[in-house]
Amino acid sequence: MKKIIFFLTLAVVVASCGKSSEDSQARVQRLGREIRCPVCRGVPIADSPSTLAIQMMEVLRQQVAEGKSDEEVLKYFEERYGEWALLKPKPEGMNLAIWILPAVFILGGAGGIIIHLRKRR
Amino acid sequence: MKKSLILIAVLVPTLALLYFSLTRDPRTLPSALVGKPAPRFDLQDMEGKKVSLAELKGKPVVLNFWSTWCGPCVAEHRLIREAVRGYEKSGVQFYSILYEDTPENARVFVREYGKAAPILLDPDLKTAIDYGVAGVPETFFIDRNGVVLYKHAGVLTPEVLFGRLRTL
Repeated sequence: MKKIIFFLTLAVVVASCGKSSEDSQARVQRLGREIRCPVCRGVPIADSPSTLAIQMMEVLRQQVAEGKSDEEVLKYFEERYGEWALLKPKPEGMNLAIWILPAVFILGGAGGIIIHLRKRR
Repeated sequence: MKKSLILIAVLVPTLALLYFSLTRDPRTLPSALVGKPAPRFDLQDMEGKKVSLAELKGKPVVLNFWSTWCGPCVAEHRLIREAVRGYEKSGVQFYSILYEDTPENARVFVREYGKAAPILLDPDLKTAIDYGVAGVPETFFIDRNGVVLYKHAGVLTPEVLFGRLRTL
């Protein structure tokens, strides 16, 4: 019985360690896709082959390992490279246009189609 | 007529936004660090001597990120040598931080072009990332209080270098 409990506990510990490591790697990749590569510009650091991006990913990995929150990690890069570094700009000021305009275009387009269809009838 | 006007009204701002966002060069944007305390660094020079920003407190500092493979860095090297000679006595500390390059290449470069500022090694680019460097050359002017006064991206001109040195 003791052996079964021991192996079950061991299995739970091993499984949880694996999950936590996988989660943290996934988090590093997710955050890496939110930061713009200063060399390749349109590419996130997670997908860039440049040396600078690879080292930025290493810094990101260290910060995640230190237990920093998503906001803290993104703030670190924003404070150094400016808001330009964020691939998802904050929804404030002029940036609001990026968030609002697509909805305006879709609604405007749908409205235009409805009006056009009504006229045809 | 009305339809084409609407189309233009929609297309022009969209294309302008696209052009604006895709053509912005991070190096031409003002540094996010200007007016803020310069990120601390602890690096080693080519001889293994440790240099930290904390030790330089009270002195103006000029940090030049450079590489031997970078043409503009070679072009501004003579100018930095002149500045080091001219401002050494006034207490300005010049450091050249090697970016994506090897100490061996730097030694060959110094033999060929002469020594300017002490060369610091940043093998994992940690300091370059801390300073938001996107490419070389980039030069940071830090005042006596450790605050970043100005960042210059691209090759230094005498006007920029000596003009900024006078403000330190």
